[in-house]
This record gives sequence, C-alpha cells and structure tokens, in this order.
Amino acid sequence: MDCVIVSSRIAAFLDGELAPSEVEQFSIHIERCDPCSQIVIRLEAQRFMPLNNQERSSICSAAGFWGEMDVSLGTQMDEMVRVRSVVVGPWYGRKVGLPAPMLAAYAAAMLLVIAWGMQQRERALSAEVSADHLGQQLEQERRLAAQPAPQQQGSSASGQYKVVNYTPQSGTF
Amino acid sequence: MPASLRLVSPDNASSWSEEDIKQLAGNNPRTAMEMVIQKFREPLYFHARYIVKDHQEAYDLVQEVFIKAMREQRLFDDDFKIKAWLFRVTTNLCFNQVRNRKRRGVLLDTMMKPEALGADQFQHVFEGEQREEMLAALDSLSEDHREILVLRYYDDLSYAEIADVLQVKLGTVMSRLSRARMRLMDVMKPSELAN
Repeated sequence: MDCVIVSSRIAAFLDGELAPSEVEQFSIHIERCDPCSQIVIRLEAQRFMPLNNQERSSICSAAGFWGEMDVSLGTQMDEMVRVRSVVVGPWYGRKVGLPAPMLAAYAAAMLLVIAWGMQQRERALSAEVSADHLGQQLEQERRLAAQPAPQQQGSSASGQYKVVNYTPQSGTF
Repeated sequence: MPASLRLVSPDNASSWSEEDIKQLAGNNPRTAMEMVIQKFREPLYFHARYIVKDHQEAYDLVQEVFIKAMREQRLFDDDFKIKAWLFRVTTNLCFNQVRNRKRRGVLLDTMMKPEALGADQFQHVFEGEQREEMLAALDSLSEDHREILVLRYYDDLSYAEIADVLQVKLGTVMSRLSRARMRLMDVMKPSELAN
C-alpha cells in the first residue's frame, strides 16, 4: 500500500470498514510513514458530535411535533388513493380519468381521422369510375378504327356530303 | 374532520424492514406508506436539519419528500431501495434550498435568521460550542463532502447504504469520505481539533 491508497482509505480504517487484510497492510504502512501517521492521528481527533438518541427523542417526542405533518400527509394520501382508484379500476367499471380538454382534443382528432378516411374512400371510388369510362372510350375508338371505310359514290364525294346529280327540267325557268 | 395518518405504535417503527413494508404494500398500500413515513421521518428530519439548519425548513422538506414518495410508482418494487431513495431526494431538496437561500442574498438571510432561530424551540439542543464549530466547519466544505460526512457521521449510515444513496461504488465512498475528512481537518484549526 502506498501513500495515495492509504490517504484514500483513512476514513474507512478509522471507521472499521476495511477488510482485515487491508487493515494489516494499512497498519504496516503507517508504522513506517510518518506523514500518513500524522494524518491518521489528526483525523482520529475529529469529533462530529451527532445528536444522541435521547436528544433526538427530546425533540421529536414533543407534543404535536409530527401533528402538522400527519394531517397534511393524511390528506395527500387520501387524495392519491382516490385518484389511483379511479385510474386503476377494473376495465368494466373504470372511469375515464382524463380532463375535459383532453377528451375534447381526443374526440376532435378521432373525427378528423374518420372524415379523412371517408374523403379518401370517395376519391378512390371516383377514380375507379373515371378509369372505367376512359376504358370504354378507348374500346369504342378501337372498334371504330377497326371497321372498314364506307364505299364512296361519285368522284368528289366526301363522306359528309350526299352527291346529287342535278338535271334541270325544261320549263323550270 | 381533516384526514390524518393512522400510525401504528412509533416504538415499532425501527423494527420494520423494507421487505415487510413491500409485502404489506401488495394488499394495503396506504398502510405501507404510513409505515414508510413512520420509519423514516425522524432520520430524514435530522438529515435535513443538519444541512439546512432550520427546523421549519427541514420539516417542510421532509413533508415534500414523502409527497414525492407517494407519487413514486416504483416505491414498493422488489428492487427499489426505499431508504436510499428517500435520503437522496431529501439531500437534493436540502441543497436546492441552501442554494436558493444563498441566491436570495445574505442581507435577507441575516434579517430572517434571528427570527427563525427564536421561533425554534429546539434550537438549544443543537447548540454547544464544539458542536456549533463542527457544523460551521462543515458549512465551508463543498456539497459533496458535506453530504457524505452528514450521511456517515450524523445519520449513521453504513458505507454500503451511503453508496446506494449517492449511487457510487464502495471504493468511491471510502476515498470521498477520506478526502472530506482531510479537507475538514484543513478547515478546522488545530486547537478546535484538540478540544
């Protein structure tokens, strides 16, 4: 044991908290080391003088010493028990121990979630309908494109106009 | 009628172990809490008193500690160390109080102190030249040193209990306690030690 270790164990040595093997090493060191020995002697002289049991009881056994604390803590304890019994009851008899603003916020959040869900469903349905409609249009166009072009009559006839051969009758004018 | 604690005989308080109290808490948490209060209020009061040095402040702090204990969900868990937790919370509250007092200023403190002392009917028990000198010397130490010295030499906690309170290893308790005592030796005059 060197001086550093001894200085960190002096209190434990004086309080009898060192293991027997450590006590032996400690004793050997302070027999040989004068500075450490002087410190041990000076620390041994320290007197802390705590209150003894008689002094303590003379304070605490005075009439009404704990009275104020008993009343105060008793009230607190009743309050705690009441609050805990509300929160930790069986599920079928449990009351909701939440304050009104929290309940309102919770209800509002739930409504928002439901509204959002309904809106999403609506959008999904309309998207499905428009997709069907588009599919039908495409199908129709495909069918039209597949049909053969109609026979043209006359040389300058287009599909939109009916070509009529006009022969003026005599006596018309 | 105001509610009050229905405490069992105070003489039996020290004989209740934490395990007994935890077992009781399974069936009757209120009585278990009352037992905790009964068992620890006196040591906690004196612990607080040694740090804040004022009866009413110490009394109020201990009350606050027990209210915190009532709200602590793990209090009666198997691996929960009730005594260590109570002393730790008390110590923290006490040093907060001391820091707040310092922040409020020395002027206010010196104005209030005589009244507080005069109102304290138990102050004479703490008086005594040597005892006052030692407590004054403790005041000049750092919080860490003061805390560990009070826990060991005024509250009479074992090294293992101190390790639990401070949440450090046993070796740290030994070295910190030794450093604290050496620091105290430096602070106190040799004549005071000789007394």
